[in-house]
Amino acid sequence: MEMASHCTKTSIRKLRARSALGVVLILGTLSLLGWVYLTQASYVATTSHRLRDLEKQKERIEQESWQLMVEIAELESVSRLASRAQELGFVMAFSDETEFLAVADTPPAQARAPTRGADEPGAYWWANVTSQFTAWAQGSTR
Amino acid sequence: MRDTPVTAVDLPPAVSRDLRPFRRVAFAQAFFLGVALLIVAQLVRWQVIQRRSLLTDMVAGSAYMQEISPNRGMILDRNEKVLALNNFDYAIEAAPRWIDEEDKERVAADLSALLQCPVAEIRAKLVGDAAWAPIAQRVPRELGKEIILRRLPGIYASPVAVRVYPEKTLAAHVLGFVAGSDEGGTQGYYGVEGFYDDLLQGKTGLRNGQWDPWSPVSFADRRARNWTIPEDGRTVVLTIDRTVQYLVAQELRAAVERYGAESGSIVIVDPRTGAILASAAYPTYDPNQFAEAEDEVLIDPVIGVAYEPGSTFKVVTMAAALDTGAVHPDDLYNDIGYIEVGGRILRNWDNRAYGMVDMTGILVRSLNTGIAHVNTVLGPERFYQYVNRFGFGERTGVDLQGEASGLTRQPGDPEWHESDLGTNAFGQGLAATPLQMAMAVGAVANRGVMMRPYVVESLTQNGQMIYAKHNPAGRVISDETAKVLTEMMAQVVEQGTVMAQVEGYRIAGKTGTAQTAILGGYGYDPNLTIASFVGFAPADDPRFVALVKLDKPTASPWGTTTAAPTFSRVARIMFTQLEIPPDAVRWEMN
Repeated sequence: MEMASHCTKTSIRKLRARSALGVVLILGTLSLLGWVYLTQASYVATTSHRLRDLEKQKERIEQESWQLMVEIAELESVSRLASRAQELGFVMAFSDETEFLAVADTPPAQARAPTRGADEPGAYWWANVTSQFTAWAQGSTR
Repeated sequence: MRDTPVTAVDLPPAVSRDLRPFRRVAFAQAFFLGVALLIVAQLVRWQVIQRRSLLTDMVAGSAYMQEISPNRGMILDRNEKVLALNNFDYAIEAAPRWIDEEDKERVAADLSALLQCPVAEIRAKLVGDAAWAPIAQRVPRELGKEIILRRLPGIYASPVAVRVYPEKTLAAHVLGFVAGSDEGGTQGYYGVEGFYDDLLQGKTGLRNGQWDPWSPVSFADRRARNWTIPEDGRTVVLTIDRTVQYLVAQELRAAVERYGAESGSIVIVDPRTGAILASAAYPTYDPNQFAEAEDEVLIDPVIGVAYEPGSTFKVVTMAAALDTGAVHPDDLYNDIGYIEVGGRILRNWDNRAYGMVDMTGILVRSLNTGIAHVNTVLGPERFYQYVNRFGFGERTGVDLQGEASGLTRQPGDPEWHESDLGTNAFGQGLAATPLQMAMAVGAVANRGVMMRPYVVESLTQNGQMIYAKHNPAGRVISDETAKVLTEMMAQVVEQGTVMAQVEGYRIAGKTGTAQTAILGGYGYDPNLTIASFVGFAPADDPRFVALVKLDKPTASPWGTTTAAPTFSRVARIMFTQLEIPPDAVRWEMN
C-alpha cells in the first residue's frame, strides 16, 4: 500500500516536473516569438514613419526648389534685365551702328560648341572609353 | 501481507485527491478543444460558407487606388532659359466632422477674413459632419502658409501644382497655357503646351492595393499591391531665342502704336531649317492669367488666323510663272492701267498705267494688272498646281496647336470663277496664315526647297536629349528660278520699297496691302487694309525670313510705309542678334 502510494507520488512528481518544463518551454517559445514579432513590428513601424517623414521632406524640398526656380527665372526674365540695363544707361546696339573689322591672317572661325554632339555615335564611343578608363584608374572591379 | 492489485475504485481518498490534476488537465483540454472547434467552425463559416460575399465586401470596401501626379516638363528657349515651369499654390479643404460645433463659427470667421469671402459662404461649407469639404480651390502660397500656421481645427491646406510663365506675355502665343481638363486634371491648350501636351504631362503614377486593418504602423494602413512610378514630363527646348523674341515683340508693339493699327504679328523663320526664331503677336496676353484674356486673343494669329496676303502673294505667282517658263525676267508687258480677266476688270492699286515694264518692274511697282497678265499666260492648271505645291490651303505641320489651313478656291470648286485667276495672282480671293506666307517666301530664300516649320528643337528627359527630326517639305521651284526671283525681290527693295532697307545689307522682299472684307457684308472696306511685308536677308545668303503684318493701320494704309519700315527695324535686330556682319565685311571675310 505504501509502495503504491510512493509510486503514485513519484508519477505525479514526474508529471508535475514535465508539465512545468513544458509550460516553461511553451512560455519561452511564445515569449521569443512575441519578442521577435514586437521587434519586427516596431522596426517596420519606425521605418515606415521614417519613410513618411522623408517623403514629406522630399515633397517640401521639391516645393522649395520649384519656388526658388521660379524666383530665379523671374529675376532673370528678359524684360527685367532690359529695364535694369536701361536704368544703368545701356542702349541697344545695332549692326549698322557697329563697326566690323575684317582681320587678316586669322585662323578660320571656330564653330560654336556643337549642340548635337551628345547624339553622335562618336561622342558615345569616346564617353564610353573615358568612363572605362576612369573606372580602371580608380580600381573598379566592374 | 499479500500484494493486491490496486484499482481506482479501491484507491484510498488520499490517492483519489492526488488524481485531481488529471481531471483538471482533461477539463482544460476539453475547454481548449471546444474553443478550437468554435474557431474551426467560425473559419469554416468565413472561408467556405460566407466566402463569396466576404470577398465581395472586401474588394468593394478596402480596395483603393491613388494617382500620383508627375511633374509637368519645363519649356526652355534655345539657350535653355526658362519660359515655363511649375510651382505650387494651395487648395483649402475642411473636415467638418472634426470641428466642434462651438468652434465652427470662429473657424468660419477666421477663414472669411483670410480668404476675403463672405462668412456665410464658409459657414455653409462647414455645416454637417462630412469628412471632406472644399473651401477654396486655389489660393496663393503665402496665404496657404498663413492658413497652415493658424492651425484652425479641421482645416487643411494641400499643395496644388500650378504652371508659371516667368516671362509673362513673352511668346505667349507660342507657349499656350495650362488649364483644367474635362477629366479633372490639367491640360495644355494652344501652342507648345497644347501640341506637346502628352509629352509635357508625363505619365501618371498609380498606387493601388487594399486597406490593411492589421498594419503595425497604424490601425488601418494602406498596403500597396501595385506601384507604377510616375514619369515626369519631358523638358522641351524651343528654337526661339527669348532675347530676339523680346526685341521683336517690343518692335511690333511700337509699330502697332506708331501706325495706329488694330493688331499685328511678326514671324521670323530660318529658311535653311524651318526653325521659327521668333513669333510675336499683338495684342497678347499673360498665360499666367489666361482666364482674364478674351477668347480671340488666345488664338495665335501667326498660325491660327488666315488673311488675304495681297501683293506679297505676287512672289508665288511670279515663282510659278518663271519656274514653268511661262515668262522670263526680261519679258515685257504693256500696262494700260487695267486688265480684264474672266469678265472682271482689274486695276492697279493706284489706278495708274505704267506702260512697258519687265517682270522685275511688275514686282517693283507691284502691278496688279501685270501679275494678272502673267497668271493668264501661266494658266489656271499650272498656277494652282504651284499654289498647292507651296502649301497654301493646307496646314504647314508646324508643331503648335491651333494651326489653320487657310483657304484657296480652285477650278472645280463651285465658288471658283475665272476671274479668280486674276485676283488670286495678287493675293485676293484666297487666304493664308502669316506662317504659310513666310514659309513660301522661305522656299525662294532656300534655293527652291521649302522646309517644314518647327518650334521645338529638342526634348530631354533624365539627361537624355532627343532632337526633333525635321524634314524638308520638298522642292517647290528650281534653284535657278529661286536665284532669279531673289534678284527680282532684291530689286523691289532697292528700287521700290526703300523703307525696308538696312544700310550695308542687301535685302529681298515684297510688300502687300490687302483690303479687308466687310464684316457681315459683301466686298471690301475701302479704308481698312492689312499692310504686310515679307522679306529675307542677306539676299545672297539668307539667314532669316521675316513677315510683318499690321492689321488696319490708320496712319497709312500701305504696306510700303508701315510694314516695310517695321521690317527694316526687325532686320536690324536680327543682324545684331544673329551676328551677321554687313555684306561688304562678309564678302571681304570670305
